[in-house]
Amino acid sequence: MNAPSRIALIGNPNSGKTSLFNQLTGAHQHVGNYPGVTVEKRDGVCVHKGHTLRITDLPGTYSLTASSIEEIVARDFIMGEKPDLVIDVLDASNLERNLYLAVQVIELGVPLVLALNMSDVATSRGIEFDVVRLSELLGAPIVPTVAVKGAGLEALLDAAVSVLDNERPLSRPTIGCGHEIDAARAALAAMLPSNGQAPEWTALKLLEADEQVWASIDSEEIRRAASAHIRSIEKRLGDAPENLIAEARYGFISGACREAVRSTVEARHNLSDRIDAVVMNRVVAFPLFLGLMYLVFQLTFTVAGPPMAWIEAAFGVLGNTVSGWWPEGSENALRSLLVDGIIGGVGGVLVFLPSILLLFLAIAILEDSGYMARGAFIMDRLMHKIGLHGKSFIPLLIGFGCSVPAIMATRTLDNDRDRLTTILVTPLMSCGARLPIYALIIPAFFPERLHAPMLWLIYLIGIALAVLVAKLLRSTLFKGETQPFVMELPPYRVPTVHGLLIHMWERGWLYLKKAGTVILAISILLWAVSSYPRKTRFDRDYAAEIHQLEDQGRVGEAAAVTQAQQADVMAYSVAGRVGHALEPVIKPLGFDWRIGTALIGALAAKEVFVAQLGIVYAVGEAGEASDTLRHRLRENYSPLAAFCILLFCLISAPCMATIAVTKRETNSWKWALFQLGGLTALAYVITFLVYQTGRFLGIGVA
Amino acid sequence: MKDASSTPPTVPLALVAPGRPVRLERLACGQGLQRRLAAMGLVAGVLIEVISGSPSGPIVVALNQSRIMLGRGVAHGLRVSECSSRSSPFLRDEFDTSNYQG
Repeated sequence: MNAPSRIALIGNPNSGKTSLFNQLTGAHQHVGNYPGVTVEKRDGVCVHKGHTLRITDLPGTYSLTASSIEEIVARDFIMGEKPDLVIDVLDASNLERNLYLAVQVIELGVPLVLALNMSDVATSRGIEFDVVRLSELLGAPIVPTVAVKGAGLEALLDAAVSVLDNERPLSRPTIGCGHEIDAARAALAAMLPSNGQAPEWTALKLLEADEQVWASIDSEEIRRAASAHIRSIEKRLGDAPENLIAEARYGFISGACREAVRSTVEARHNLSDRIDAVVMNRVVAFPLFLGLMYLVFQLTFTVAGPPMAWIEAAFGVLGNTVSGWWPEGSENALRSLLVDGIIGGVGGVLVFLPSILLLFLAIAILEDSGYMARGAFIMDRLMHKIGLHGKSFIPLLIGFGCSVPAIMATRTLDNDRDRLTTILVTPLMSCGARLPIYALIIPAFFPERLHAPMLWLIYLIGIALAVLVAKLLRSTLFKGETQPFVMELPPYRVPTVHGLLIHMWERGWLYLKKAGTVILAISILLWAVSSYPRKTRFDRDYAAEIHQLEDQGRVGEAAAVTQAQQADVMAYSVAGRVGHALEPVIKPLGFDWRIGTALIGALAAKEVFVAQLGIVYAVGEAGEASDTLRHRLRENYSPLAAFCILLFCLISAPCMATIAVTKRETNSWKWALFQLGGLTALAYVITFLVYQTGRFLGIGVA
Repeated sequence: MKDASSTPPTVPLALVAPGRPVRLERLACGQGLQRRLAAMGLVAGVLIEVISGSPSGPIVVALNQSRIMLGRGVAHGLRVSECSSRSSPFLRDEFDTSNYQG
């Protein structure tokens, strides 16, 4: 009796579908992928009046044709998984367009409930709905909701349960497409086997020239008949059946709205238009956009400061406590592993969690408020100049958070050339994992007033390089037309705290999981390669020398000898040896073997660079960690070299996860390796030029 | 059957100044793009209005309550006609499925 019912949530982008899903399922969500593709699949559970409802949030789509991955995923889910009920979320103030999707769900013949979402906004715009009449016309219960406020959810669930229990079923409308098309549809349906998908639906899709349905038809006879019908309709009505069917759907919708919807006030210029008149103003738009980006980084840096200090202090206390378990002065491998390897490594990464959460929060605000789409608009002209699509801008912007979801987001680009170019340059958008590197290096070398401008500059360099590389790729490897730009500009909305927190937490949690698993494992590995083999026999008797110098009160010289010993020990380890082997190659960039060692770690995950530097120096300090890492860095490198470290980390090889996702998204190792090799070569050349020029001109060498 | 003689003169949407409603008459673009535009509500017969645009960048059009950004190239392919009546931007009065019944 109480087997869980499966419910699919479908709706247009910006219809408030995700808000509704969050409200219905709360924290009981599971994020995964649809089989075979990387479109995100979110599942959740909700219990209502003894019914357990398993809700799946389908990707936001405008239609159920086979023209994008999202549409195919949504359609395949409804047809393949056969959910017990589909809830279609409609944006009430945009009803006609939203009903286009609803009509296609109706065509599929699945049990349906419609959520008339954001009905408060529509009402305030003077739109009145006759919900009962509209339900009758569409043959599905309609429930007004305001998802962000949680209003109407009880009634929605009541309606869902009543449809599941099959109380008072409504009769479905049939949408006539005109005599010719209806006749052709009936003729084709009669030829189709009745055991599979509803023949009526398949026949309609054949007339719509739906590639996926066409490919599923084996019978040459049916294919021939379908093309004959399409040609004859085209000839007689002067347009492709597909367009005529679309018009007929809108005709049906128009008719239904005329009967059940009344617009009392003609709200021509709403608040969003008025905001846009300022925000998107030709003079203001671009500087404002850059300014907002600057604000985001400024915020990320300053507000995150205090909590970062707390985390750092907490890990310091933890390290000292664990250290205290062993008697003073003893050299113990386990202690070194725990304190220097695990606590030091993971701590060094966790310290940056506040920064990363704030950055994701800022991106979530931009997304949820609707400004992100304006960004795409403002950038389209520029993106067009470099041969990209305004839509490419969104994955690139997400790239500031993490390249992995950014590369996944390129799926919204239908054109392969646009998509590949975007994927290849995405790692140049400085991701959140690189922020710890900047946060470590910049304050160590530059005065406080330059912190935010330096960070901004690094991000700008990444953007400029992405532009140049994209332009280069589009004029060589990926020549050809850009995809036409069509995108909805969602109205501005005040983001809800609940939604922002969910988005921020989802991404922050990914970072934490990485810190807990991959980074922990790499920290231990890097600790091991930086500690072993252990040098115990020295050519010089360091201990005696230090002892002697200290007795004579020459503390400074004693410290120098201690450092010499540390360097000796470090150089003997595996990491030291690899770093040393790399040194001739990276020396022209201003790097020494320690940086070389850390760069190897950065290949696994960018933030490991910080952890590795920490380990390299902590191990070298052999227990007397009085100096902070920043202090040690300042002693060892010039500001010019520090800038080159920033540059190299920005441009060079993306992390393993990025390479893996590029391989998966492009379905070829060739592009993944091309990205890896190409970006590393670019990083080398640019850093080399900057360092050598800087040295020649004597900038930042002291 | 569409009657060619009643078709009013059309101009590309890209050349229309902001602030005046126009009727979308014809979509001179590929089938794939037509499908995407239809999904967003842009089919022949709807009333739209250019909200903003610059000589070279994309333009924003209003269709009922939604705002849709169109690249220059797309806007050149959409043919529109002048439309004096602002009587009902919400519904397309002219549309009637019986037009297609032979």
